Amino acid sequence: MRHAATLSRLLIVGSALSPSLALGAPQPTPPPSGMAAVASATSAPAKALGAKAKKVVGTLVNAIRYDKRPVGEAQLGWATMAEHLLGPAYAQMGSAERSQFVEDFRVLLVGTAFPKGHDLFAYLDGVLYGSVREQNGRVTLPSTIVVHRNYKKTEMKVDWVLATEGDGLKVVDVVSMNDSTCDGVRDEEVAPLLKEGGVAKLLGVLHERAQATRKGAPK
Amino acid sequence: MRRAPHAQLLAAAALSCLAVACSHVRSVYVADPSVSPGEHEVKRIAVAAWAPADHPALESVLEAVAGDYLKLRKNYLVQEAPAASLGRQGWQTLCQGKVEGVLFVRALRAQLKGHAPAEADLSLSGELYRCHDGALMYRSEGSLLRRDDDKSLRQMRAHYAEALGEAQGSYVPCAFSLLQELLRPMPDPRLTEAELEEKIELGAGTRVGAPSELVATLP
Repeated sequence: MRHAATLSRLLIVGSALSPSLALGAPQPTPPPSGMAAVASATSAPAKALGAKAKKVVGTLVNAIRYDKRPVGEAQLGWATMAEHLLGPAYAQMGSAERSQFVEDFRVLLVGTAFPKGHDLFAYLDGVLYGSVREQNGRVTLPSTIVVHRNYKKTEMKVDWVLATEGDGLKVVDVVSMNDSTCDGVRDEEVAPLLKEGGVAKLLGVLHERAQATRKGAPK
Repeated sequence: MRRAPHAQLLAAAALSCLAVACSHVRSVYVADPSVSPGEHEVKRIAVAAWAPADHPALESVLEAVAGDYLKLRKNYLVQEAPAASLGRQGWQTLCQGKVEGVLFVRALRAQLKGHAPAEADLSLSGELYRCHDGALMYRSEGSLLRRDDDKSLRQMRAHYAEALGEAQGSYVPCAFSLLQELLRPMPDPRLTEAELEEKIELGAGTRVGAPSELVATLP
């Protein structure tokens, strides 16, 4: 279960702020309501979009596998994730505060989730991508991850959410078992800190954890 | 508490027996390192397959599954094959451009019994040839019998069936499980930094198929 939780948040944002965040019981995951397939799954635009999304996710997966952190970092939409995680507080923050949040969050995520993802390659048998769906500028690439453990193969569904940021599509969330990693981090980690002490408290705690991660002692 | 030495030996022997008993691989051949001088090391490979004429759907499954496994789990730079059914042209025809070697998967025996669920009985060999001189660098052979409704590989089967065709789906669980065993012992090339970047750019993982559904998590 621990591996499943880590894998599902693997290349993602989850364990950055909350390494111990656990997933709930497995449940079948229907496509999100209102999520329309892009034209037809076999149409040329859908195929092109699918190829782009697969390329970004595949590069991220390989970057983590080979421990090429800068390449992996470049596949993530940091500003988009920050805006989502911070919610209404994002609008109240100055550019310096936003930059500090993104930088510390990046250190925390790359320093904790990437190594965990790297270790999980020992159990990985397959990553299979489905047809992309698009809604409100966000592209969802469904995938099935096949892992083996104790001579048993198991499948997990993981949806990669991408959005356009900077020079192209970037991964901005990962949804596993209907559980958005970004929503989980926002609701269980960021929001309580904002409620407790506002932006200053959040940035202080985040910076402290980022510093600890830099020193090789992730919390 | 430290176990007695004889108990450890017994445990190791039991595990070894279990591993052999569980394996579906009959033989593995790895070329002597002297056969593989560094300047002709095989890194960029193409994948081709051959299946009996009465199993036309099997070739594309073997090519796709073997290629996907190598992309995800091995360091080989897998070059996209220009067309399907390449196995009928002989592996040598793929030695073009950057291709330095060809992994040729051959169905030695193929049987499909029943319907919904069908049961695939496959005997396969995987051979890696070096384009430079035709040397056999690796060979493994094995057999497996598996139903196509294997719950642990349900989504993976659906992905391949969507990408390749429903007729192919019945072979997928069997081919996927057996090819993983056949290709796991295959020696991995050592990549330079530039080649590593190329590998990362090529992406990990596989087909664009159907949206999938969560099945379970790791135990």
